[in-house]
Amino acid sequence: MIIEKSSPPKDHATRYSLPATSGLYIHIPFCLQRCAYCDFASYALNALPNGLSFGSYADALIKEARLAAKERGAPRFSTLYFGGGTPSLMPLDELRRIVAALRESFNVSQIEEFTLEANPDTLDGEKLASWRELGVNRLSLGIQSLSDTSLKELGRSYSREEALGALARHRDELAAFDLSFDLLLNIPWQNPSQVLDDIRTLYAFEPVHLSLYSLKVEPGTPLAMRVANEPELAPDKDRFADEMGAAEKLLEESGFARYEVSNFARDGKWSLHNLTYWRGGNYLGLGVNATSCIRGVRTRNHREFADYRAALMRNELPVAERAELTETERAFERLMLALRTMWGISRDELPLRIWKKLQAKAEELAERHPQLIVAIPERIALTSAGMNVEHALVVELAEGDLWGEPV
Amino acid sequence: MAHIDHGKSTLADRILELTASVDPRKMREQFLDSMDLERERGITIKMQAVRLRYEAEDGATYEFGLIDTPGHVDFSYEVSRSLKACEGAVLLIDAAQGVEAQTISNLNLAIDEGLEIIPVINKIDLPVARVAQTEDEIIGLIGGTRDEILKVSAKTGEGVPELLEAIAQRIPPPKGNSDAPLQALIFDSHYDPYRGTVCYVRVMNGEVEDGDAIRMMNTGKRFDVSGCGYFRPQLEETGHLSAGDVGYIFAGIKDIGDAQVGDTITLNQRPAGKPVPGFRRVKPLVFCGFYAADNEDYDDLKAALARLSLNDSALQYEQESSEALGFGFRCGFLGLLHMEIVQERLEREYQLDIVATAPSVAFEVELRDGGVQTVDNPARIPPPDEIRCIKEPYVLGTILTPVQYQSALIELCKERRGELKDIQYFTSERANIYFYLPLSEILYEFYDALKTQSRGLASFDYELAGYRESDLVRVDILINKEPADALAFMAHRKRAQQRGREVVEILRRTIPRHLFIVPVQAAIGSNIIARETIPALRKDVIAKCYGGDITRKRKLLERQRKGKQRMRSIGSVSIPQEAFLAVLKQDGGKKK
Repeated sequence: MIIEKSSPPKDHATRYSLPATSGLYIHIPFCLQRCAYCDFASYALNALPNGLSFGSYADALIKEARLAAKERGAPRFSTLYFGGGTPSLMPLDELRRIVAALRESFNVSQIEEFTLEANPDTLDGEKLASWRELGVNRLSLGIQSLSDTSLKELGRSYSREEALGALARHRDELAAFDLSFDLLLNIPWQNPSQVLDDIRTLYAFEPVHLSLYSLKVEPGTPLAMRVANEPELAPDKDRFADEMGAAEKLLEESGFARYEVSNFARDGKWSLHNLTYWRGGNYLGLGVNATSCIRGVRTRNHREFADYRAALMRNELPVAERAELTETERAFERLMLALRTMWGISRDELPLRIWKKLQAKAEELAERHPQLIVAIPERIALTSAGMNVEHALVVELAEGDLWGEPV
Repeated sequence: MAHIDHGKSTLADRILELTASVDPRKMREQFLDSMDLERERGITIKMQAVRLRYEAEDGATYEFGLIDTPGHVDFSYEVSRSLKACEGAVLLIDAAQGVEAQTISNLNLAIDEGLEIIPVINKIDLPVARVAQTEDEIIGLIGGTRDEILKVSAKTGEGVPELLEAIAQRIPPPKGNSDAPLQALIFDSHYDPYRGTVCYVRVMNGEVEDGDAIRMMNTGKRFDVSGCGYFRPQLEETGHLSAGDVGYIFAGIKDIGDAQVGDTITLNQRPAGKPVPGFRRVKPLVFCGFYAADNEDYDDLKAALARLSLNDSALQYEQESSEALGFGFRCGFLGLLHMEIVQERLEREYQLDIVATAPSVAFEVELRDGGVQTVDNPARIPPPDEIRCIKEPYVLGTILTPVQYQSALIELCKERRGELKDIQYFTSERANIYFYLPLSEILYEFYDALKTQSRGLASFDYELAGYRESDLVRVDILINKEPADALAFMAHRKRAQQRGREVVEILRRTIPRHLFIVPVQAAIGSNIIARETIPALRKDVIAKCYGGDITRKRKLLERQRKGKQRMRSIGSVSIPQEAFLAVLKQDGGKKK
């Protein structure tokens, strides 16, 4: 077992104040194949529902962008993010049409960060050059593992050799982007130290950002069915903590900071887009199942393409759910999201009456569990060990009358 | 009267039909069992009295009272009370089961009262009926001849007319003198929200009428009779009862405690010289704490217990509080079935969610300073160094079994700290084993073990047999070094460690991890006998949390928060109710 680091957040982090950002998210629901663990809104190319194609989807997105812009008065965004699915599968001409429509509908002249998610086996030289031309400056590459057994069991579409081969072949083009790699922890088919080997291997491609997620068994997925028959495959919480602790140590030695529960960056190359979510900023999501949150109103689009497109055909926004958050709910969300980050939450982010009680509670908690939480008069933040148990700590902080009755 | 499931209530149905006592359109099975729970479980909990009219073959019309009684041992006090009101008893025996333990104990009660006994074999329509053997068993038990034994099928009605005729011919009319001063024995009561307490009485001597000023001979309380009459089975107002009658009296008695079962009613103007020898107030044998699962329901629980106890004089309760469970009640019951039924009634009739602590018996604790305490809650047993000795209640158990299971059952009783008293055979195939056993040993899964060891053929009955000194210790359960009072239990010293290990193991599995390491221990005094450790929580967070995950995460945390608020806290450890239930269930709380 690895002893978890328990140092409080760095001084610079507690003083640092991040600029306010707003994000535009585009969901691209196409994949080469469905992974065993995935419950996202995505379709395998060989099993597209009736009426869904790259072209029809681009048409729908463009329509949605125009409707949304009309409704909201062409807002300005500071980040743009193409997520999926596998956005790198999108043919270039369709992608160009979409980006052009976004430029037309929204104010994206000040975009600081333009991320596109890609799988290593979908990279080619032409795409990489065109993405750069379109303004993409950050690639988030879904690697997940470099163990062939794990890749096969997870249902990924490539092998270790294919992934590393593609990265090596395009080393020069990739150098034009800020690179982020996704890896999974807690994969039952691999040794706990595999993730450390993978990180070291990936260092060769000079990433500035890494996301380490935990393999999670989502209901209804092929993995869930498998775990039901083979319970020994169920993710183990202690193993997560051990792997995360070891990875964190390795990454810190290389200058990466764990700035969020699952995210590491060096040289301040945080994901600005994702920070918008964690810091309560406004974001607009386009595409199937995409969510938006603008001034405390949260909406979610239809998950099925047919419903999504039908609404657009009627010139309606394809919204399936809409909820307006109360002040308390907003504050509670603010807390539970901000505590995921190394900056934690500061006094100016919450109504004063809530802050005062919260701060007192946090001090009491910090007294009992100094290895988990740090409380100073202006700020409350979690240590690395604290981030691993963020839910339990938020529940402790939210005890009592502070947040009213749980809904 | 009969052993449980030998067909009393079904026979009562047939008798009601043959005597045209119930409108056929209103007839239903187990007519006299009015509680939903009785009908669902197919058992009688509370006795029912009804007055019948029977035209016999000799042309005369006979009036007689029928009391349907419970069969389960927990409710045998109901049987003994009702026998006080009777001249005779029908001893009903299942032709497939033969004589069973309660058959004998009920028979003994009837013999003690000097009643005329009519032995009846029921269920003769069953393919597995063993009529001849059952006759042999009855003759072995009470003597007599085969033709004195009636054979009926309460289900089909066969033989029931002959039984009614036998009742009319064999059972003597009641004695008693209507001119003597009034003596009416209260053998049961129930509470009616409009009339107050309804006393079920057997008039031994004298007469009583509406408007009479009456006096309770034991409590001395005085009332004016506002109504009296017979059970038919609905109340039939006659305004008059006289010697030999079984009926009801109400007199605006608001507090059911003022009309105690066993008391004698007499006239204020012309009191009887002495009361009818009554029966001792029934004492609870089994105790446990009842707590509302949601502490806010405490007042509702209190009100519900008060209402239930109006019609269940055997139920006793007093307020107690537990650090782990909050405010609740220590309740006393006649046995585990009684406890289970009260809990079920609270849950069904009053929609309460109940947490019941492990059932316990009442211990007599002799202290070093010479004092003696009776303690029915293990958490209240004094520390070991203050105790000179602990005594626990014993029973004399009777096991009736086919002889081939005899040695297995003797083994079972020995495991349960039993002491063999005697074995009798009243036929060559049936053994009657007498054992002294600690009451606490028959509370937990004893019946199940008995039935398993005998392929369901042995039956068991018991009566109290005083207190005996035992090597008992109190085992405390400590969670994060704090004792969880609701989980403390008494055990024989030799078994304490085993049981302690089981309990801490269950708690380790059912208490969720906390932000710190939680030790769970079992201890006798300051001596730790078992320990488990719940490691600290190391992961409790969703790894991925982006735009689309936020609502889900908030709802998850709200649920986590709400769950935590509902947990009980001991030593700053939140303990889910399931953890208590898992331990308590293991301990007893035997459900059918």
